[in-house]
Amino acid sequence: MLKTIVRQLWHNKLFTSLNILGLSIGISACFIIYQLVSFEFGFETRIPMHENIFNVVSHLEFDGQEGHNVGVPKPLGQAIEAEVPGIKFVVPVAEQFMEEVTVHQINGKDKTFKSPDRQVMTQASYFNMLPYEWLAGTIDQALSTPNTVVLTKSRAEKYFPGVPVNDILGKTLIYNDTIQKEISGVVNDLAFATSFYGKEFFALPKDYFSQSDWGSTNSNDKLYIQLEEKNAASKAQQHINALSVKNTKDLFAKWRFKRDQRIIPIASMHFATQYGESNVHKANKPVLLGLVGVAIFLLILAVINFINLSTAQLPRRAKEIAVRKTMGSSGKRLIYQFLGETFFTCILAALFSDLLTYLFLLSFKDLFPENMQAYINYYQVFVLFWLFLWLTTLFAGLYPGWLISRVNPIQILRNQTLISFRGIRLSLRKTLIIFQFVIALLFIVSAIIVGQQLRYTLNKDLGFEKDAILLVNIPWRKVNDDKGTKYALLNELRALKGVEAVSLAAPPLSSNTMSNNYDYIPDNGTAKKELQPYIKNIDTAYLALYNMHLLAGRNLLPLDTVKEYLINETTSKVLGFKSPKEAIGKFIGPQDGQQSPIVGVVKDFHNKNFYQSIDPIVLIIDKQTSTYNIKLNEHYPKSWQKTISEIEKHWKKFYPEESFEYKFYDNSIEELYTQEHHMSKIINLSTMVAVLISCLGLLGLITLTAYQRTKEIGIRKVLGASISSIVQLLSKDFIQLVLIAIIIASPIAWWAMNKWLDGFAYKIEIHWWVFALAGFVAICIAFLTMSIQAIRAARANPVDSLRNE
Amino acid sequence: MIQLSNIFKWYNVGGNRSFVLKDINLTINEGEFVSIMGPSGSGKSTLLHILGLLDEPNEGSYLFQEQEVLHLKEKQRSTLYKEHIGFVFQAYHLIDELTVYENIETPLIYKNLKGSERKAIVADLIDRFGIVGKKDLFPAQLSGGQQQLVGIARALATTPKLLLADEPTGNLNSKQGEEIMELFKQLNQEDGVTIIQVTHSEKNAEYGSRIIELLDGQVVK
Repeated sequence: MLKTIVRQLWHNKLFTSLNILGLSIGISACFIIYQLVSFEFGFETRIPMHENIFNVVSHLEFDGQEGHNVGVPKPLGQAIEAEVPGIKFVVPVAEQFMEEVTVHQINGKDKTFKSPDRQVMTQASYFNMLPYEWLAGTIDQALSTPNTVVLTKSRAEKYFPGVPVNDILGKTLIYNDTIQKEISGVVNDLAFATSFYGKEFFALPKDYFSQSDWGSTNSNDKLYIQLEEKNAASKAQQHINALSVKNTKDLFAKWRFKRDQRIIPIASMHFATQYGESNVHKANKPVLLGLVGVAIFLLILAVINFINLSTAQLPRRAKEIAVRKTMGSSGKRLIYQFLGETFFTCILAALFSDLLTYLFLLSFKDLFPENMQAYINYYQVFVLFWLFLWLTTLFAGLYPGWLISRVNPIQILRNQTLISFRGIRLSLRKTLIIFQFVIALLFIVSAIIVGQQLRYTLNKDLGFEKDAILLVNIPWRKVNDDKGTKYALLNELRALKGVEAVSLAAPPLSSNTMSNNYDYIPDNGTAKKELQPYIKNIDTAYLALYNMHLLAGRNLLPLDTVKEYLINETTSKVLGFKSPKEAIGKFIGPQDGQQSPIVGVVKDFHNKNFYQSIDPIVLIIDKQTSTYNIKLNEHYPKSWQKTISEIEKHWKKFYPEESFEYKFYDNSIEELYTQEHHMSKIINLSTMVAVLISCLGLLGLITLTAYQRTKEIGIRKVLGASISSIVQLLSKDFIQLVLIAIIIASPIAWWAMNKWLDGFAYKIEIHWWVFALAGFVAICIAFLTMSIQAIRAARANPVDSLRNE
Repeated sequence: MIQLSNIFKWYNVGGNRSFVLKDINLTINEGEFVSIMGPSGSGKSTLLHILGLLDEPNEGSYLFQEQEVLHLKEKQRSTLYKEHIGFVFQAYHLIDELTVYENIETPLIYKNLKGSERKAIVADLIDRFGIVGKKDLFPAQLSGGQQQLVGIARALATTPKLLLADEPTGNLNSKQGEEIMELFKQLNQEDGVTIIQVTHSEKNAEYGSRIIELLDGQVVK
């Protein structure tokens, strides 16, 4: 049986390879998406009782604006422990930043590790809540005193390569040259996808929960609770919220500020993108669900293709089938034979898809979370694979198999092949082709428009010049040293050859923002106006460096304290000034603070990404600046490397212990659109897959048609038809199908893309030619696909097809 | 009109040459009505296909109206063919999806004639063959004899000088066959069309002015 199967598949090499290719693309897409989705949905689910574990977060409301913060007021944890019933564990977690750690290694030498990451402060309950296994030390003592540290196994191996864990116990680590901590325990790393990323654990200091801190919410102060019963969640939330409100009522009333505490199951936190957490990878649930849809869809397309292609080659096999039947084969046996072929093809496709998946993941690494493949559940993969194999075999094999069993051997052997297969419904297949091309067109249109929007975003006039500018950050600890180091360096940098200008200021467009409440009290006695502008700390060199235009007034003067303001155009409009000129000389200032005059109005520039419109901005001179904006000579990029090493030399003079790190500003602006780049890449890839699969289907259909019309083609050639007229004859119908697909797809694509563009405050317009181009591309691709088979059919010698034997 | 010299045609079967035609030399003048006879597998149809420019020999020369036609380019051969040659088949080979009228019209479309010209020619043929009432029927709705009439009408639509027929009466009963043969004779004598037919039947062969007998790829008589 296997021998005949292999021979049959080998005999139809073209179709077998098309089948394998189509199926394996479908399988690969599914497998990759499966990996991604099971990775993302697997977060925290392997923590015992994870349904009972919740993250306590804060929901903030101020001035009509809502805010989400993953942190809670510091004292909340202790208060919950004391007052809320039904709680098993309360686990506060705070990230700790250590500059460096020095390790006395076994061989007596000291080794220093710079900026070790994943360090957190917590308490023993952390290890009770999460499934840690103690390799050395015990949970009761591990974090009982302040100067202890617990390491995970991987961290222990990093610090003490090759040393057994029991020998590490009791060793001392020195942080930042001064703080000594004794290793009191080693635990296993968590072997599943999780946001509990800690590798090095310290005890929370005693004063962490200080009562005075009820008013502030810091995203670094995270709090987890494990309930005795998960049904008690809403009650617990009410309790916790009441606690928080009780302690902040008076404080917040004055500021018209509201804060709710909410609890969120930890498995859902992974998808709660509104709660930003540092060091934690979050996933977008709608996107993942969309991908699941894409996966199912691609697989269905692939199976449909398989059916299309298999039925397309049936007429060629009619004789074989007829002979088998006259020799007594039952219909069932023939179906089994065909299912066997399908099964074998599926296995080959699955093997090939392994290679495809590997190559794909290799070439598009940055599209996926880095440790996606670390926790694959191979058992599950294996079960799914077998399930898939059988289902595909059944779905893809049954219909053609049934058709085979219906073949009437007498008709076939009487040489009437063509008639007996007229039963294969062309209209169904045509519908499928239209369907496939509608999808392909949707992808093509979105690929074009997403690409356009991305280019628009990156090339749009930002209102300032971003080219040839270096950003260098001063480490936050050194920003406010009283020696004025940063100004000394600033002056040296300004004198450097190749440096055109230097400004110590916040870059105009950045994700780091600062805002404050401001009042404007008009002098004509009308009511005061409030606004919440973003504050940018700048210096006098700033406007010239970024080539920003003043619409009215003058630049700021070099003063030590805030005595005057620059505002942007939007602020001027929000405050109700009819022209920028009118704003000059008016007084604004922080609520309850010093009012100072506006001295200038700057033309609007983009301060955030293109999803958001330009905000009111106030520019001030302030000492709280930590970024050097260095403008290099724009016209000699070749000289930049030399200038940068010069800058580094000077940097080392002032900050000898700090590494010199720089970024080109235009690159970091591009980084703001990483997500869009990813999306654009995914759409381009999906477009390719969809177009490819659609073409395979079309190829199957044209082959069947050409075969069914062999006789007609022969006659027409004998009557003098040229090859081109026959290609035309064969392609015409299919081009019509693609045209219908264009008509159906265009409005859908237009609607969907408008919806997507609505998310941008600054966006391109959709032009009609995009649809024309997409349609043209689809027709060209369809025509290319078909012409191979059509030309082959047209070139065939009519003598062969008209022979009567 | 036609001069074949030293025509060889063979297939390679398992390393050996299997000859279909062996050293055929043949001259056919304009206005002749030639019948080719011979048993199955003697190479009759292949010879006819070569004469009709549908197939090419492996060796030899073929002068059609004093012009060497072997190794012509596809386009030139196609032009020559469309201008001068009509084909009639045993199995009629009408296009099932087209009506009688459209079937006859098809070769004229490939000759790039204008719509009005085509209409005149087709109407004339339909009238002459007495199938006016059937012009909107499909081939499946006609009897074998009627289908063959349409086949011949189609072959004559381009007013060819040479009509090639491959067992034109093979699928017909004797009465229908006779009618077709009478028609051929009439075409040959009144319109001066050169006809070459392949046939099994001695009786049909008698309609022609000359009989060529083939055996194992060679002309015996």
